[in-house]
Amino acid sequence: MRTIEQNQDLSQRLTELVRSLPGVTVVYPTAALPAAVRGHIVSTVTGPQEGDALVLVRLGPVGARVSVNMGVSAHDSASEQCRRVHAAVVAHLSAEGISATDVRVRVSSID
Amino acid sequence: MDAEAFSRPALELVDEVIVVGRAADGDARAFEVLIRRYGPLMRAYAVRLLGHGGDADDAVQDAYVTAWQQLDRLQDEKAFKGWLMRILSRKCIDRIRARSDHDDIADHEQAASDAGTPEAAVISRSREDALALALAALPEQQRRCWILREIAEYSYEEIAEELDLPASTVRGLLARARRALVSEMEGWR
Amino acid sequence: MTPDSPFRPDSRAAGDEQDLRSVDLDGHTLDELTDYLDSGRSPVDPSIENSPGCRIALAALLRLRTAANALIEAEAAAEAGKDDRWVKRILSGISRDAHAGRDIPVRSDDPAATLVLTEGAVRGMVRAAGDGVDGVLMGRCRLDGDVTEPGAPIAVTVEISVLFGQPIPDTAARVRSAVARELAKHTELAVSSIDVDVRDVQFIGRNEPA
Repeated sequence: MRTIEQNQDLSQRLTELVRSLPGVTVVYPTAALPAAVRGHIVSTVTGPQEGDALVLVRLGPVGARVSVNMGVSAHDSASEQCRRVHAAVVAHLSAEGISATDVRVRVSSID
Repeated sequence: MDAEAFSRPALELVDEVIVVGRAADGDARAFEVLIRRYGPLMRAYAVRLLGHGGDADDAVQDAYVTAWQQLDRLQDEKAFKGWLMRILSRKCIDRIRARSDHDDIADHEQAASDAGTPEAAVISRSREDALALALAALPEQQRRCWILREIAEYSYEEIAEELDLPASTVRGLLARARRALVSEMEGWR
Repeated sequence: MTPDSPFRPDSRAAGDEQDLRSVDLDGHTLDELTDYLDSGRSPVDPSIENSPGCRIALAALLRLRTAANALIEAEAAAEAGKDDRWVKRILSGISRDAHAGRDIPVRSDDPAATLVLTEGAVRGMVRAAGDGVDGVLMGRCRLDGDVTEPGAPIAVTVEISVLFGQPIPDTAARVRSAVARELAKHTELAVSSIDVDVRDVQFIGRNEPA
């Protein structure tokens, strides 16, 4: 059974991964969870370091649920970049031996 | 036109339909133009309703934040100014209510008397100065009703609803405000 | 009230402890006259229009109304440009999420994937595409149709301002093709039409890098 701290570590790794992908201009906080819940997780685990773990990760018994909110460059197709980020996230999880049960990727800006 | 230079209509100059449309679609630069264009007017209006001090600034800021959130629901872009003033009126009224809850001041009818005499109004430099003085001399409830009616163009019923007063009371307050202002402005003694 | 006052009490006004100084309103009240002004003096009420007292009072009420707006405008003018910090303060308080709009799906082979572009992101991209056309400043962009349903026909409408001197049909056509090209590049929307609505023509532009 994984702990919340491990969730947070994985979230930070995924945030770094997404940021490093070509065409990704910014990673936004994910507001998929109610703010109160999210605030609770953040405050109990990382304190003020919210900026480092913007990709939301929830680990369950059968696998991970991941939510990414980002901006991409208008240079390349936004839909294609969305698919590439999804593929990169799934590959990363797989390399860590985690199966993805739900991966959400949202493009909130195209600049 | 210079064929080499890239040129486009300036955001500050185009028809407001364009600016409001962009802001409604989430363009913060267009919204900034609207803040600069109407911010001082909104602030002057809020100060008339709330008096000087931080409250008026906060109300204006709240109004703009709400406007940003709800702008995509504004159907007629040409109605932006009036729509914004409505939002601000609501923010001011909320503060007026909160104040009377806190302070438990039963009588908001006391007038600020200094310099608010009719004589001062008559000899003042301009019609606006005269009105400012005459307004300052009005009891608070009368002044609020009158500003909501004449500047924000609220109906009697809307004022009654916002200020939790019977419509007949609003009518009476407005009637008194109007008579006092006309008398002082026109020197009708 | 002084004996030489041209005004007399208005008996129809609601109970008021103040002295009432009213011109001879021939049986009308200031309230009625205000309502009459609010109605744009229509339909014409001869009993008001033919009363010298009423006409004086109407003029006074109009002056009062004009002064009210002039007062606020004058105070606003005195405030304007004084301080920029409050503009920044307001801008820092607004959030990008407010205009996300609907979720526009992106296809994926993975059943565990939910991939979307926000409507706000697509509108912003369309705006940038139109702004990239020489002589054009984009206004509102509307996506009519169920963008959340893959393949549903979507009618796009954009409003634009153009610089004077641009042939308008050509400019509109260039905006249309730029918007079509970018929508096809970035989204999987089934665009059925793109309407370009010229809302404004400007005589002054601004040189700005594209």
